[in-house]
Amino acid sequence: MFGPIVGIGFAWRMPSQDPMTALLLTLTGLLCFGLFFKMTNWFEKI
Amino acid sequence: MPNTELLGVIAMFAATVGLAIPLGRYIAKVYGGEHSLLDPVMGPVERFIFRIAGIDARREMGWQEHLRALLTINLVWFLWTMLLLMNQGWLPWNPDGNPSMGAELAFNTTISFLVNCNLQHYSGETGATYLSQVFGMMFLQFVSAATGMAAAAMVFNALRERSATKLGNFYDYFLKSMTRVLLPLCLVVGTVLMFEGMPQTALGKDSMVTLEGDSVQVSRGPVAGFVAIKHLGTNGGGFYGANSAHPLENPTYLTNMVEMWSQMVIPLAMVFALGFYLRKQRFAWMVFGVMTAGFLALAVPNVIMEMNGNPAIGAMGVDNTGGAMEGKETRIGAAASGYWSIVTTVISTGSVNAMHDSTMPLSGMNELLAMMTNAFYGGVGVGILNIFIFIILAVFIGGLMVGRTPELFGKKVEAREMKIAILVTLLHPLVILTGTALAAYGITANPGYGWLNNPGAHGFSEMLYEYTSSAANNGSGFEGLGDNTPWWNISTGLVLILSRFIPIVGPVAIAGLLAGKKHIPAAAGTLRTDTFTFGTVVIAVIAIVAALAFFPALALGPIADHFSF
Repeated sequence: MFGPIVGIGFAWRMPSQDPMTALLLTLTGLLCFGLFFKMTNWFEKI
Repeated sequence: MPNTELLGVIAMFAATVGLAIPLGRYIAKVYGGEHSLLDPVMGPVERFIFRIAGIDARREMGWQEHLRALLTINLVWFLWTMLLLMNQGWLPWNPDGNPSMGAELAFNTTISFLVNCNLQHYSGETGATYLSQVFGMMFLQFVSAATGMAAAAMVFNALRERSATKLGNFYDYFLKSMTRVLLPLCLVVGTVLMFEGMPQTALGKDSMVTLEGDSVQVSRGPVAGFVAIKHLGTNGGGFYGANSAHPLENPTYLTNMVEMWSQMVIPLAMVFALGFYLRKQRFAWMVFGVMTAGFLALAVPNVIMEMNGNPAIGAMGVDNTGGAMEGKETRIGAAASGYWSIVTTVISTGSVNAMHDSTMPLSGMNELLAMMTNAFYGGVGVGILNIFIFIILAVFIGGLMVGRTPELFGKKVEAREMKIAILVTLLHPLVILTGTALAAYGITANPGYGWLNNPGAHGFSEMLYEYTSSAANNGSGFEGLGDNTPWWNISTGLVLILSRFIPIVGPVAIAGLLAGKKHIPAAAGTLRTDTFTFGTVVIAVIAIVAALAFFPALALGPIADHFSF
């Protein structure tokens, strides 16, 4: 409950920050981490 | 009369090596779970933190579990800092009224500090608030350093243990790296820096009147604490834009010595800690010898070249006897600046006390080579991981050369370990050279971009340096580059994140896989890895695999720059 409220609060206060770019770059970072997690399994079987 | 500048440099190196040995013994005790000096103070603090976090620090983990824990907490810090930087403008503790960061700059800055690089495309005075400096950047300076140390501790354990599932607890190593090593040293170093005149305040800008009678605004802040972890954690990100060339971030020659000592001592101590932990001190001295040979081969020429001065300046009739002083601080001098330029690039700190763009072209080449090889001392923890990869390659190549089974500490090095080691090794030149080629094409095809301030070979060096610094997780800048643009923020951000975590995942995986293999006792046919000969093979592998891959790029940049003088 607390998390979404804080999230909405932050999103409301940052209209000038180009939210689409922020979202895309955050997703890029998440994708990179996904790759690293995948590598831990991949290196076992390589 | 002896040259006091050279004596200063020698004193700095001697003090670092001299204190790294006892610190290494202490670190080995900490990771080995033995009783140590800070047990009565830090033991209850650690237990309290583990209790509120719900972590059982005595539970043993395998290498994959270590990596999952490491990646998960780094992912959380990525999201936290990104959010903080994009909102810092309206959040509290912003006495100077600095604005929030845009998404691209926040992306670059977050990853840069998360990966212990601290490449800065903003200036601290105007681009960050005290809240983000302390709870964003400084927080990441602590935890990113501890992340590297914890990964190295797991590798220590894997090389000693004969089980793939009992390799210690990541959170235990991580927290102890902070409470037993980084925090106590930061308290000492930060106090010394404050006594030498470095600001440590929550107040905003101060105004002062200069000798010329002008009134200027001087940025202040919690600088001393920031600079302590900046160096002890081999982070390198400056509180001020000019980093340790700024008079409030490095006020005296003594602070210069303390900052120099701070950035070198833990990486060196980790090498000795490896020897004490494994009870293989000859092996640790071999590693230290390889690293020191590489370090001195780069540092000595830089000190000499910077002290000899710039012939182009001399030809103009300007007195050059103080050395090549363009871009340097007179209170520090040419020798200590030349020495720092290599310390900061081999160690992966990336802080500067002089502008590397103004060093002699071949000094610039050595700074690049230090980051390209990325094997001499290295950052806290990750330095050990980097050299570990080269040792694996050397064991394999050396074993094949003399017809012996490639083994490290009684564990066979086989195709799987080699594939991982090669992948990690080739990633480094791949991201650097690809990034530089794309940037060079971009600015040539579209000169209107305007972010490159120097044409020709020097401009090429600036682009090459930016990607090399990112890939080595170094963070120093050659400058001369307008780097706060979408291209540089996003492309170097991606290079940073790939070049941090793959070189952690790879060595940890190799060590974990080796730990699970059957132990073969040493025999007459075993290739010894603690000898001078093996050290020479490691140096040759580094020179062939790491350095030569970059020779064509160096020829187009600093070498061509040198011959244009």
